[in-house]
Amino acid sequence: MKLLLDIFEKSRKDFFGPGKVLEQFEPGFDAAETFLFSPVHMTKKGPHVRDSVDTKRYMSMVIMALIPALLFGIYNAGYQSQLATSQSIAFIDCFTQGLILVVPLIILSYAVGGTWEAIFAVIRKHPINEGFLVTGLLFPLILPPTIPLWQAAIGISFGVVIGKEVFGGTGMNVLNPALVARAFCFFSYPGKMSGDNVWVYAKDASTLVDGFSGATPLAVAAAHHKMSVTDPSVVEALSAKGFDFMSMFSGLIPGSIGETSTVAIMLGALILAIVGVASFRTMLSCVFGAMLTGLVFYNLAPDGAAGIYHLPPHLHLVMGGFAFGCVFMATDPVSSAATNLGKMIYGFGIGVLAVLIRTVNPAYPEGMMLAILFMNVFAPLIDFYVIQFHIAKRRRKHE
Amino acid sequence: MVRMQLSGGYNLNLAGKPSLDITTALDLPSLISVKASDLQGIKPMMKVKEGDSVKAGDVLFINKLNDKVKIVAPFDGTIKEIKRGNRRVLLEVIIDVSGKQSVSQFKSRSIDEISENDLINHLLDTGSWAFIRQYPYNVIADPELRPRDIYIETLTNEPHVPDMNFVIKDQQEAFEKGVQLLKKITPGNIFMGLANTEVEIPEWLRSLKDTTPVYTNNIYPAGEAAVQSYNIAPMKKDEVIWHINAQDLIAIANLFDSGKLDYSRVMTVSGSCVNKAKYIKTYIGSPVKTFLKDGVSSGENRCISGGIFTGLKIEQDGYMGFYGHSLHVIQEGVEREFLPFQRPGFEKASFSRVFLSTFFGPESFVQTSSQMGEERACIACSHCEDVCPVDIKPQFLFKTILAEDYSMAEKLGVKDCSLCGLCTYVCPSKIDLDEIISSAQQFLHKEG
Repeated sequence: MKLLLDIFEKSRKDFFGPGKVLEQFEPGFDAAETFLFSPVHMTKKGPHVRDSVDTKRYMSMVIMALIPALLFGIYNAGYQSQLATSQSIAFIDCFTQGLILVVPLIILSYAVGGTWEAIFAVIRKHPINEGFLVTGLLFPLILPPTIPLWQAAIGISFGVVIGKEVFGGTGMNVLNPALVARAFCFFSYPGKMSGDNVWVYAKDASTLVDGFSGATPLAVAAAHHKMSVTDPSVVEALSAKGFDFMSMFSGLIPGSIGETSTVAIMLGALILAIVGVASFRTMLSCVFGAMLTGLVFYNLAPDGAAGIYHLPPHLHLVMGGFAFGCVFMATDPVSSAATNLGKMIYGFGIGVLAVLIRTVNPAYPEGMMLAILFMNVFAPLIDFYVIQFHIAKRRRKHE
Repeated sequence: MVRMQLSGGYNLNLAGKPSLDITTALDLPSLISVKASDLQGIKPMMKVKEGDSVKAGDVLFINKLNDKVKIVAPFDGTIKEIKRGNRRVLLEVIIDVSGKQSVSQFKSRSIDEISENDLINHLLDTGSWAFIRQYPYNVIADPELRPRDIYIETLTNEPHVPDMNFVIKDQQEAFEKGVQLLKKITPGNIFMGLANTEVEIPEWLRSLKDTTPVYTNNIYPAGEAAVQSYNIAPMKKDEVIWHINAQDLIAIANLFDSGKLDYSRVMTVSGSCVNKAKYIKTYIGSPVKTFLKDGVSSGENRCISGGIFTGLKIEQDGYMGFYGHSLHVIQEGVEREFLPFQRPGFEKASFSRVFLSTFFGPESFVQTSSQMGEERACIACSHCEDVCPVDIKPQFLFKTILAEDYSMAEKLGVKDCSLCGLCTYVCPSKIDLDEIISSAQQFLHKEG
């Protein structure tokens, strides 16, 4: 290790230091060096010691929490593809197929997004921020497994540059960059981001088994109409397609790569709650908001309304991207409200809006992405009022 | 009696805790420093020059802003050196006191008969005024003002600073006299923070005449006057509070009896780099090396006069500060760890729960002066809000100050901040919130 450290210190002195030939690449050099060795900075005055946590550790906790959803997502992407094309569904075959589908997306996301991050770091002379490690992994997990790589590349470029860097980099962004990237793909390439044909990979449509639909549970629920008493209810209609509560909870269903398995996501939520990196306030109030709105629709919807109106509220939590968005997207501390009270209002708003968009807007079966982006925009306003409340409380104390 | 349940605060278990007995009493060293960099809120004007000989009690420098506030020589001797820093800011005055063991002589005064004005003037003339400090801004008290309340620091829970329950337990008589002195200065309350530390609260302290005990939990910084004030009796507009360390109060009380101002204090020497962490009795402004007779570990060390969060960085061949009653010696954070953030972190001290030390940690942690990471933009993790003992939302306050919106900063509570340093300690983005808030306080203090 001493040898490696010497190499780094010597190259800094000879190439990357102030006034040296490669000075402008110092951010990249720094990033590599501080990935391997703790930085040299010391405290100048009190407090003379500092907490061992830094943003690198903080972000790597999120990555750790994403691993269950990532592994399951890889398996499920393969499984859905193998199943639809009636090939072997042995674990190893599914997982291999999943790796073939997902790994290129992840590499691409890190490579393209990382390049943008590095370009901005060099031009604007700020350090390469480890926040990108999270964005770069979140983005592939919210894409359908069949998305063309070039679309994903443009998406992540838009997300990193417009979603984050133009505001000044990680910590300054208003919106969640991974969601900005997804929203860009969603509105630019709707044919590859929505509908019934994008969630399951098949090399060639002719290989698909008979009766394969490829629709997600949300699409099934939105399309369902119970016109007479003899028609099946929405729950029955979902079951008929193989979407009962347990299958949607465990996650062997079509959908975006990382979003399908509520149980894997809950494992991630547990990790985040234990290490205290994501706010449990946001998560719980988000679930509460969704349940409440779902309950209102469930009880008040007229008979002829679409199936999604009649969906029992708890099913909202296991369908579509709700769980993933709630645990990994809504809790992004930078784009969420910053006060504890604000986080509760913010999370609640996401829950309400997500179910509202799902139910009332027939054009989008899924509402989580838009709900979070919408509340991202409102987060500063929520904070503003929470702070006003806080100021009034302080003033009363000093009167 | 008041109860204060502190929300926020944090106890850091640092290695190198001093053992609870006072067996070492040091002789008066040959050089003593009067550290001006420790004295907040005054603008020094020198009254002596290098080579002058001074008697104990002679004025060394006065406060240019209010010449009643004087800083005096603690002992007879000659001025060896007047150290100045950037832009000729006075850092310290070093006095050669070798062979001259006399302490300052003043008239002894009866505490019962002295009037308020006489008392204030006597404190000012003897140089004991500097021990009395004022909030907001934690500056040397303004003799033209009168405090709403006075807080005696009987609870000190910054890591490894002298435990007051232990230090003052046998000093009831002098302490009572001190309280009677303070009673003359304020019509308000005399508060004392009390909590069981390693040592139980002395019984006599619980039921002391004319004082109001503030029972609290033993968590840093529950002992700070500003923290207690905010939580139990917040200052109104234009009100101030004063506070004084319990040992300093005892020294002042004895001054009225004997006419001698005692500069000896019970102090601690601690930290992971000292061979023997212990309590010692020595003098304010002593050279650091007199503390380190038991030896320190080799390598680059950081010496700190005062608490680990609030103390002053001093050189190993330098001198203790004016208020610092403890010396910490920790390692400078020069060592570079391989794969620093990928480790499980069984031995890493952290307020957050991102290291396994939260669950399987040792009893105490070794920390160096390393910043433990690089500075980044605020990621709104709200750890600072969780530790703040005076209910500030530091993540908003610091941004307001950087935007120079001082009226908003005041609304957000910049004046309530005691600069305990906890928000800076816990920040994963390594933002020096303390420095930012303190700069705003200095600005507001200057501008009024």
